[in-house]
Amino acid sequence: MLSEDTLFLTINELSERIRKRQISPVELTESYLERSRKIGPRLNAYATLTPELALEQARIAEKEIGEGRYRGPLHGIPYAAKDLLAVKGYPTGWGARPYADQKFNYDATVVRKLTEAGAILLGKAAMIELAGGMGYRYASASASGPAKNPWNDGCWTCGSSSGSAAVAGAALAAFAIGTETWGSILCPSAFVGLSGLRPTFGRVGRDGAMALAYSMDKIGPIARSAEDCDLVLKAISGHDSGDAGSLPEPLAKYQGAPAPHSTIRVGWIVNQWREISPGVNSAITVAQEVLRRTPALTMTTATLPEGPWETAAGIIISVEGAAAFRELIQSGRVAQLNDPLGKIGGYMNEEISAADFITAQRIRGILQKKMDELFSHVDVLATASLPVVASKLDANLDDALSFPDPIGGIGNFCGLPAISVPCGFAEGGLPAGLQFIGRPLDDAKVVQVAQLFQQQTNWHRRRPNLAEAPGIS
Amino acid sequence: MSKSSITRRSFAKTAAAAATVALISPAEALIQSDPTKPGPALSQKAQAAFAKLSQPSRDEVAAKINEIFRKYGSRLNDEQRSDILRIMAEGQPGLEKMRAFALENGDQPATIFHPVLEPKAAARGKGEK
Repeated sequence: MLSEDTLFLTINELSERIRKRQISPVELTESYLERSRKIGPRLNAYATLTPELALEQARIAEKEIGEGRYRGPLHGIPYAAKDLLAVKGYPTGWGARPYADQKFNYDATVVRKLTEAGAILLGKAAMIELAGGMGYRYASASASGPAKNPWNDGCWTCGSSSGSAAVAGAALAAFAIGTETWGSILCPSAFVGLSGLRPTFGRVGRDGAMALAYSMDKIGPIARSAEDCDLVLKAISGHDSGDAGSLPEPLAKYQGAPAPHSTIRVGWIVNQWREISPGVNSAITVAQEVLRRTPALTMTTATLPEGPWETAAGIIISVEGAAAFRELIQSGRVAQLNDPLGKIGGYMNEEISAADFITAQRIRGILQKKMDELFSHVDVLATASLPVVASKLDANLDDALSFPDPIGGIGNFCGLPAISVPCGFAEGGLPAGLQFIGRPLDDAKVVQVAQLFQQQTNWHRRRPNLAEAPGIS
Repeated sequence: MSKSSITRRSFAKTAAAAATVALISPAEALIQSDPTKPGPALSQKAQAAFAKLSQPSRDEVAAKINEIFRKYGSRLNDEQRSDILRIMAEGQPGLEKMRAFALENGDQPATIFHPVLEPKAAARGKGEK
């Protein structure tokens, strides 16, 4: 079996070794599988492992590479897909007990694209039930149980891509695919010290993905570095004719983030977090200094427009979610969900009026224009990913994570690309995150800034000591 | 005996129920599944959230809650009813702020409609999925 040092390598480092035949894809897959079987259940990281499929794909990859048919940097790289992505013949339970036995006879577009790139599917990552679509109050809102943070198993990884972050954070796979409707890639990445990329809305096809909010769901990678996110987004982006929200191919296809040719203007948001924990504040202050010292960046400040953005975004998610899960709500099967809020959230969401829904959509158009104006002054916005470190596993999230998050609302409402990267450690030795947000289709710019940050820091190289974490060995 | 007449026993029961309702707040009356029985105390948060609302806002929240209870009341316990009241009351001020946001008649909604289906989407519509 390969060493832990190897399993914590970035995709780029692993692929270099695979291409040079220093690492066998079969051995790499077997090593991640063994680690997933050993550590995965302790973190509630997976919904399902797919070992037969993984080993079959690994043998094919090994044969092709041996014959000189190298497909690219994801060839032979094992990953996990959030359990809302259909994988032919395997359970796709959407993290929710009412769908525990659900299977599809086709692969989601993202899974198909990763297969074509030669990546190896190790399993389906656990998630918050229905990606939180009916609301949830506790980390236990998952058919797999609460996903535990590899840095401290008494803490949560954050949802709804909670299992994806546990998988990537504990090196149970080289990367994981998550989704974000509001916060579900950036928050888990921040809480677990990972790099997570939320692409521009419409850039990654969603055919075969569970729908929560048709106009706000995005799919993206959670990995060890911004460079890794860049590699994965290149593979999974592109037009998807099965997704009405998909952009045309020339816009959808992500070409990657080369070294910047000109200076990038970074606007530090001055009106994002009302309060920030001392530990996160210290980490963020040091991170700001790193950005200031970066020759390729110019730092300025930016003020987000004021308005009812979060309420409007919430209304759209609630209404689209109530429509997507109407049968579940009206049949009463919502009672089978784990979370007390999930059992009643759909009933309330059904009562939002059509006029309020359309008003929210009209406000969305206004906000798009305001953000376009803001992005005429800066290329990328920056702020702490979250004002706190990972919450306790049993915390009531209404209390623990109930702060206003204007850029979270705005970014998801307008489909803006964003990335969270680790920027240090704060209270309890838990990771803190830094986020960069760009204008639509400027995914490359947020990745470039994140890469510049990671070229000068090694926070993304730090890894949890799983042998010493209580309950994990 | 006409349908509207009441026996002495049922009158007493009805009067007791009326007295119970009079002694509890409008919010508590909203959430109790059986106002003749003392239900669990309405959470302070729920009472406070409802009390903060203007009368028109209370009426709107009450109408929505009544609709939820009409449709799904048999599935809900008193704790869930209290939770629904609190959450909807807490959400009402934000909703009103959003409605007050200045919009011109020509400010169109940012919804998407594609009049022509792409081949894959059309196949799904025919039941391929």
